[in-house]
Amino acid sequence: MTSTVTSPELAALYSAHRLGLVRLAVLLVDDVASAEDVVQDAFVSFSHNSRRLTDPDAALGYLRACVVNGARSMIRRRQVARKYQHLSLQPDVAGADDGVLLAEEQRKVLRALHRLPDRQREVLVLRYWSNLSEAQIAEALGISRGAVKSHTSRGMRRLGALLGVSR
Amino acid sequence: MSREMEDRLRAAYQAKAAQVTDRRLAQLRAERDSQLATLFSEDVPIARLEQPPVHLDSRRQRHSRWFAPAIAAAAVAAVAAAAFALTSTGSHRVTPAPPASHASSSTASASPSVSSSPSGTASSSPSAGPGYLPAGQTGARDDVPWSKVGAGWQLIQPLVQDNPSHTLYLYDPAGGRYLIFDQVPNSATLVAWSPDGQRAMFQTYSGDYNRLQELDLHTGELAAGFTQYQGSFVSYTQPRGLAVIVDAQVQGAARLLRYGTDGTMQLIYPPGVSAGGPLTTDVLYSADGSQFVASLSQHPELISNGGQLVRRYPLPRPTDTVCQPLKWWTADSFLEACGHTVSGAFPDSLYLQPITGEAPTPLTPQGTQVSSDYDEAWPLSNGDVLLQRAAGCGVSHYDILHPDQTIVPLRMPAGVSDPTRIVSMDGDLATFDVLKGGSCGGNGANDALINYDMVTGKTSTLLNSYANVMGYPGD
Repeated sequence: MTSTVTSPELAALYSAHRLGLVRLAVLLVDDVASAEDVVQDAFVSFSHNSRRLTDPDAALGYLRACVVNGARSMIRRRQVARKYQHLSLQPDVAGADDGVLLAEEQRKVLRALHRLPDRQREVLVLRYWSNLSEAQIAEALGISRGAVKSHTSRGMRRLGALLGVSR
Repeated sequence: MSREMEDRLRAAYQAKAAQVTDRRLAQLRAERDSQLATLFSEDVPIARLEQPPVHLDSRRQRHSRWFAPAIAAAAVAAVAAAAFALTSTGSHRVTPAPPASHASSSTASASPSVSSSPSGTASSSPSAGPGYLPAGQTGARDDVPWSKVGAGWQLIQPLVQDNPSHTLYLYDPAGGRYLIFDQVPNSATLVAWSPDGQRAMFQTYSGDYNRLQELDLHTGELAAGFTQYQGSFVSYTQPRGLAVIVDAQVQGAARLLRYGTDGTMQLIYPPGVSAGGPLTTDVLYSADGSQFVASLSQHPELISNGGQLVRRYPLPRPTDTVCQPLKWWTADSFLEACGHTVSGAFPDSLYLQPITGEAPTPLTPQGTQVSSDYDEAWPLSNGDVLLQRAAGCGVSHYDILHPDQTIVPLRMPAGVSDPTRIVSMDGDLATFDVLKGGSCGGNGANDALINYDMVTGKTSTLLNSYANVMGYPGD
């Protein structure tokens, strides 16, 4: 049984979830422009594959997985570009008129997060930002629940070390 | 310390995400559209077109989606070669890897770390005996002494660089192993050992579809399996595993579905019944398979195999907002983790819930310094209980709860100083995933699977890598 997500449904999905997905992507790729590209790609992919869906209401999980995969690819392209182009791609800074500026503590934590391996960073974002369950994280990343537990443990362990947290 | 780190992490995420507003995105889009219009103007010198390919690649993609294709084609002609040369390699591909290193060290600590002798009626922990391969040896599937396979045996699928390998081993309690299968499909993950001990279940995610395939452990035949949309394997049914329970999204809500192992859908369970939770994703089947305990968003419920609600269980404290069933404790009670969860926080106290519905009782003494934050427990053969809680740096801490309600730290043997969790438990034989080497933060540390017999104090390293592990069904 298949159905196609209609244009109004796609627009409604976009309206409802775009901002949240961009925020998720920002926590993975760090700059807003790249994050928005990742989310746009996810919606394009979704619109192309929507006819395979048996339940159009279950789109968020698909979109989330696309965003995580797209963010990982974006980071790798960025790393390759740095290698060949000697670029220094700086993360976006908040606009001067933005009301929310990061405190030093928060910047410190975010800098430490960027030193984690991709998988650990992804698991921590999905766990502590998206508040996904272990099963949902496993589904979004295509890994086992055991691997989710392990990445969470090791990510927190490494984060603690980078922030100088003692046991 | 772990909770403090979680709070710091959430605060950092929330602050960073709060910078992303509709206004900011609109501003950014206006800036980029202005830059694009300038960049692709016919008046722009060639030098200006030689912008960083990565940025142009992303802009080009956006441009082609949101503007006339002709404009995008002109941009592609200018920068396509450089941009395509820098595209990523795409998704993970698991390449066949040699079997993970198979260690065979076996040491005995100076003294056991649990109370001395097991009770007379309890079964002793499995140990090396007749019919077991010596630790470090690998045999063939045809050599497996199937009549001896039982408690203490494990199915283990090593991971290679965090990806499931193509190999599946059957380990005996002595640490010897048999190669059962070496053609596990790419990215297929071991998720279960059937209740009758005959089959292993593998699950492969494809982003939106989930494929389940059974492997006959005796013959090595892998079934074609079936696909299921946006769900994940939860459990075999009992007592023989003739069907499986899958947790899937149905019309936007998490539902449990039952499929025959041939992929025939048999039943969709009532709304609100799900297996999801912060600690585990499972249902607790009765031994005869006629009913199971599953968790709602708050209350555990006893559900008949046909989908009828039998009983809803109470939350133990007024402040609790969730209880999640973890395992059967006795024939007529189950262990659950309860707590007041604030958007994603773990439950923090363990209780025993009688199956008949009476009020649950706390497993650990209340009001003590270390009564909370335990997230798992295992009964030991001498009447003690092994308790687990998260410690700093992502490792786990283990304590022993004596029958008189005193709690003492479990003295970990040499080589098991940084356990992240117990991956399998059979009686008094625990298989730990540990980080060997390095310090807090894991710099230079590698995963290892280590068996620790808490009665004899003996340890043995099963594998110098992380792995997917399934203990013998019924452990």
